[in-house]
Amino acid sequence: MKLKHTCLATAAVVLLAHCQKNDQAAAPPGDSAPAAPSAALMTVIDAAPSGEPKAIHVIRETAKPGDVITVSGRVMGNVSPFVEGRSAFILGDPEVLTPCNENPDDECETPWDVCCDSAKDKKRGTATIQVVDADGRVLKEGIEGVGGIEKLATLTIAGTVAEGSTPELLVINATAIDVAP
Amino acid sequence: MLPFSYATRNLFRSKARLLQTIGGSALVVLLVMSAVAINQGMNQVLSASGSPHNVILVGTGSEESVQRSEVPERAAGIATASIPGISEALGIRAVSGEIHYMNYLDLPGHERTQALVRGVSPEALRVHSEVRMLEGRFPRAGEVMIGRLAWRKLGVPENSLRIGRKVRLSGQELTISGRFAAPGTVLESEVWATLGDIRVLSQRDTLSCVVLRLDDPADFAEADLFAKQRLDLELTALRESDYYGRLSNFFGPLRTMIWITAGLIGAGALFGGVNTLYAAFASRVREMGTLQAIGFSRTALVLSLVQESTLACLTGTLAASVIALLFLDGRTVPFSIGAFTVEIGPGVALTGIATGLFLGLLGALPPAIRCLKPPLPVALRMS
Repeated sequence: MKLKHTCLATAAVVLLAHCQKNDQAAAPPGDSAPAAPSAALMTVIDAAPSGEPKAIHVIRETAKPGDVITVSGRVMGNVSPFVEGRSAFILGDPEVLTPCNENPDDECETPWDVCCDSAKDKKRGTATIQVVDADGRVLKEGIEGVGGIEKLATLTIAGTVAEGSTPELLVINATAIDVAP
Repeated sequence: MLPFSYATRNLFRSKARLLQTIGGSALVVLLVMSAVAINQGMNQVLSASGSPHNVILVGTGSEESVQRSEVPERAAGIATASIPGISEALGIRAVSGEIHYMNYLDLPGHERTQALVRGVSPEALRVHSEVRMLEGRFPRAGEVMIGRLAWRKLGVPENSLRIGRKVRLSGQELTISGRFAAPGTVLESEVWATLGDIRVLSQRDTLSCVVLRLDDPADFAEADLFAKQRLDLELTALRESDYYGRLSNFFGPLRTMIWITAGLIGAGALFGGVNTLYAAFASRVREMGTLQAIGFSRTALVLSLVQESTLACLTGTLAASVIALLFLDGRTVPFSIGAFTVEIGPGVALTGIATGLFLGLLGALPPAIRCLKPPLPVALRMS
């Protein structure tokens, strides 16, 4: 009787081990856990922005390339506000733009695209936020989900206004990003 | 078991019933084969039309329709200079600014029909590498070139679109300068003219889109980054394959309608066929009773009846396959954004055979069970 139980237990362990091995083998490579954020990206996420944050529509009128600024806003302004595989996204100005689901009786499934606002307001109330390396190139890793940066998340960002920025086109190289709880 | 020859001989006992069964099953199989072939053809043409190497820059908010999109003219030049990874040959980068213009085309002697006219520059040939000139040349001002299947989309005879013929678009006469092919894509149902002509005829000062070809599809991120860095241009970067994938989803309800129509007609034919078998088997209750009395089991009798029905349905499948090959294979079917070719390939043929087998096996079972249900003494006394 004891031998029978031992045999059954051994068979169960072998079967279980076999199943686990098969599960590991069956998992496609693409389904593996996403790579951990790089140190360069984590430095920006972990840093605390200093200075009084201003709204995007205020900053864009006065900011010049090289200016150090602090800005606040929400991740919105496009149906896909994050750049695929790059540390860049669109920040929207809540004083100018409203996520559609915050309008009464609106059950928009993609409120971050702010489709209820005019193209003029979108132009005025959005800025590109990017995290760059020492050579000024945007990091080749996605930023969505890192440190709580999600669609419609409220962020405070410190950084410098990128080269080529104009009142019509505001691009900020972030040096510190804080996600509001 | 009853001999196979018993089933084959029984088939010809009533020629009218046999023809009815064969005709009904042929109709069902033909409908299923047509629905599968049309769905496959539409899916194939839409999936082949989008290259994973190509990126379309459209106006933000017009991701669903290039024709509605407005992109500033300068976007093409800025994209050429800014996006890394664009294919390059002889120092020229593969970037094509295009206007997609839908309007009526007048052909002398024919009714005016709606056509998709693409305003392009010669750079379009670098981006749409599947396009091949069949005859003639790329259009100059006042000229158009015609896709190989455009006649089908326009609903005119093929020879009415020969080189040198005139067409009229928005009141302007244009001469056909060439004919092109782009196998398996919607492009070959289009009419191409110069960007300058279409800019004037469509009275617009913006492009519909900028199409660029990347050496490595993974560089799509660079195009996406460009679109999101240049918010002033109000652009959205789309993989061409994703754009046509969305169009394929857009036509999903149309494909569902095809299936529903085929299903409804097929169900009518199927019930007609089952009814015929009920009548055929009901008149043989005493015969079945006699066979049971001399020692054949009910299972053997059911198998023989199923053999009969399957033979008739497979004959119908054969007839449907011949009709499909003769009248459907190679036909082009127009739809709103182009035309596709119906192909009766191995997949479609196998679906037809599977449908025939299904009809034969499952269509015979209820009548056969009903025929063998009466107890033996009752069955032997039935007239």
